[in-house]
Amino acid sequence: MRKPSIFSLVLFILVEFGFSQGVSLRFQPEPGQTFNYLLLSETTVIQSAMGMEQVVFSKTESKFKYLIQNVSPNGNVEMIISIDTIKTSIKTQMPPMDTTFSFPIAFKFKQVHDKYGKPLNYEIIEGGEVQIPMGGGTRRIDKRNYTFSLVFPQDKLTPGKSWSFSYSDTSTAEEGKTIVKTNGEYTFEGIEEKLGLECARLKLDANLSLSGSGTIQGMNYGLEGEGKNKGTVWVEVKSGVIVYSEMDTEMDIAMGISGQVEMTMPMTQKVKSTLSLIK
Amino acid sequence: MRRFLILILPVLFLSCAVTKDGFKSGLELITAESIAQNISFLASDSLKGRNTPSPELDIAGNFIAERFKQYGLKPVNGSYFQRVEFVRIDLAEQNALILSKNGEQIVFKLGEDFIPFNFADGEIEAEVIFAGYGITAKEYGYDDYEGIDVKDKIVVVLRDEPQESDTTSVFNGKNPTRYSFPRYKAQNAFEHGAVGVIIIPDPLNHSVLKPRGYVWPKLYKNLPRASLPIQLSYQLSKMPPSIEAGENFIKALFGDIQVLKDIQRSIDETLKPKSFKFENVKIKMKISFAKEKVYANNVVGLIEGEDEKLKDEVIIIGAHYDHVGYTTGTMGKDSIYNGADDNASGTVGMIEVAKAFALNKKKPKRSLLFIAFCGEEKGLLGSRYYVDNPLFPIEKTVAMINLDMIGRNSIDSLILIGWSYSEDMKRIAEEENQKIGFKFSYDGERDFPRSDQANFARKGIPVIFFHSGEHEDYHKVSDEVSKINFAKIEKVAKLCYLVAYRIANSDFKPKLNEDKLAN
Repeated sequence: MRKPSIFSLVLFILVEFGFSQGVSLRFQPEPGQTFNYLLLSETTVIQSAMGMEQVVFSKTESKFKYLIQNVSPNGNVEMIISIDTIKTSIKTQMPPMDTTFSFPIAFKFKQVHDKYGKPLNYEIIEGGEVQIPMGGGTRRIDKRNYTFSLVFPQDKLTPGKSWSFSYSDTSTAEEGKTIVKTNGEYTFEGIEEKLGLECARLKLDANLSLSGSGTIQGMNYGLEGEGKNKGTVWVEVKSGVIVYSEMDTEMDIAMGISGQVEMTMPMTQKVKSTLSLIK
Repeated sequence: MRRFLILILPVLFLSCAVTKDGFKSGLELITAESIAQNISFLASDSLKGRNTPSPELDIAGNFIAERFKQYGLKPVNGSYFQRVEFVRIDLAEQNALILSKNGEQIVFKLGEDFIPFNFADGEIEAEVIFAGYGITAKEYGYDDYEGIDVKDKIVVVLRDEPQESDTTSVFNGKNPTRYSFPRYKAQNAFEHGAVGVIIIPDPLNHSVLKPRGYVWPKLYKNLPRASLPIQLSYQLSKMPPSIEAGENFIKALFGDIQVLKDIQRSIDETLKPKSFKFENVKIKMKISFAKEKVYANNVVGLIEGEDEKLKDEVIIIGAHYDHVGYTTGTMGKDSIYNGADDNASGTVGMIEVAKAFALNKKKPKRSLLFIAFCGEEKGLLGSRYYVDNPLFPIEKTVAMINLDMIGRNSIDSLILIGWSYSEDMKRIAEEENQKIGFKFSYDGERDFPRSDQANFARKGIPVIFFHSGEHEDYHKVSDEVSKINFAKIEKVAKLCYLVAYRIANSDFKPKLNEDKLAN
């Protein structure tokens, strides 16, 4: 008799724990709320071109914020995302370089999400490009780094429950188009406190694919890549905003340029990044 | 007749000018007028951007050779040209990777399971040895080949290097070293006698286990077909056929990814080789290339030294004469990359220095070899070819002076590059510059690997590189003669002449700094 009762007790606790950890995640910040973020990333790129291998190591620090402008009666959230500065340190072995650049950015865009976090609308309000020093020309800011990209399931989540997602992000500019497709799965692991807030801990496991083509200074280029994105995201239960995340991204990219420079270039990119809500 | 006279008159005039001895008379022969004349031709639209290889590059090469001949420089081995054979390779149809294990055959799929590298083609069948990371790094006390014989075998090696991302690693840890590069691994296997190389992803530190290999437009449909670069032909024979194989191959060979992870972990922890032979396993691999051979020339001209003891020693003055060609641009829009500064400027500067030495009655003690390199824009290929196939022994090559982009920006400033590689060359350049008066800038060392002198330094030859800096027209169709400062080229050529003159007429032999020699 004793053993089954212990078993029942354990089962009861487990079930209770499970229920107590059950949560319905919704993207529902309040109008007027501001969320300031710090994104830190370390990137190692190994590329080979013209018979020479090159390793580029960079550290990037960027600050950005979400200003919640409006939440409609049906729960759609309209927010302004603005990026203040991007500070990048670049270290290369060949050619030897160890430099830090700080770019003042005035990039502002508006995004509308439904209450599950699904993006409905995107609009650039200001900027979107950054001038790279040392003749690097202008580069588009990769908005994917700064957008809210979690789409929650409608069902209530219990620990261990997973849901899949997929989205495609297209960047189009005068000189070309790049499409990044992401297919992955989030797994709800439980509720815990992170940075003083009650959060749902989510494990991410995603596959990435990248394709693009266009012209650089009159030369045709094409690129293709595949990769993986793994990490953990902490989402505030109350508002559904990301409080903290740790990500490891790895991509293998093949690039080819034709024209006055004939070049094929395999690249491997490893990125370790953390995103934290600082205010 | 008229054209003939025009050619003869300048030579007569120049010959008359050479009445004084020593460096001064040479200096006077370097003039902005002849620089303007030469550069106007080399950077004209008719030469269509002097791509390597192209008929227009050949025209430019003939022009330079004509100048050498006109001034009295001697050909080398009977020619003003050193022919460089390139090959453009594409993946052909027949490529295979087949594993035979205990009598069972597994055939892998191209693109999905394996991708060949562009190192070498060939068909081989051999026994298989796992050779860890495929690294022999004596300075780290690490050797995956210790105690194993891979002669006539196919080696399977891990991508990357031990203790990746470990800041306490005996390797760099944080950043990959050269030992992690596939080219190194293939070369090292070849030097140990292996006949084929299969590189596999490192499962311990990486989540992507797909094969990478080379970027073949045939396998990556999004890549422009015309992006395949040219390579130096002779380099293909120094490498074994090599491929990269992914997850399915690892599972077939090791049984499970975890088995390989455990072996890798053990190597990382002990830094001792865990190399072994796979029993009852054979691999057949076939890599086939479609090869297109193309040719271009380095242009060479010699001034023989007079000193009995020193004339066998050579000083090289070089400049690349190729640029990046043209695009099939839209009607009415400029589509020719004239490369007036990059590097018609250095080429005409080099021609002026050659003229100054050649028409000077006083000959140098050491010999001087002037080289206009092809293929610089394709990865320093012409100079690479020269140092691997030198016309004069490398050990007799005393110094190399490179002129690349010398016709823009302030007439008073010049970037000295390579000063950190040779204290002797730096000192000589600084001392001779007192007669010229440039304000040297020393912040260009990061550009050292970007031009031809880097290949000479790699062979232990002391070098110095004169450069007037980048500008908004760099690698654009707007790099035109109209933007060139001929007087600046004249000034740089005079400095180059003085430095070469000093080394050519001295017993002193400049050296590459010890630390650079070691690297």
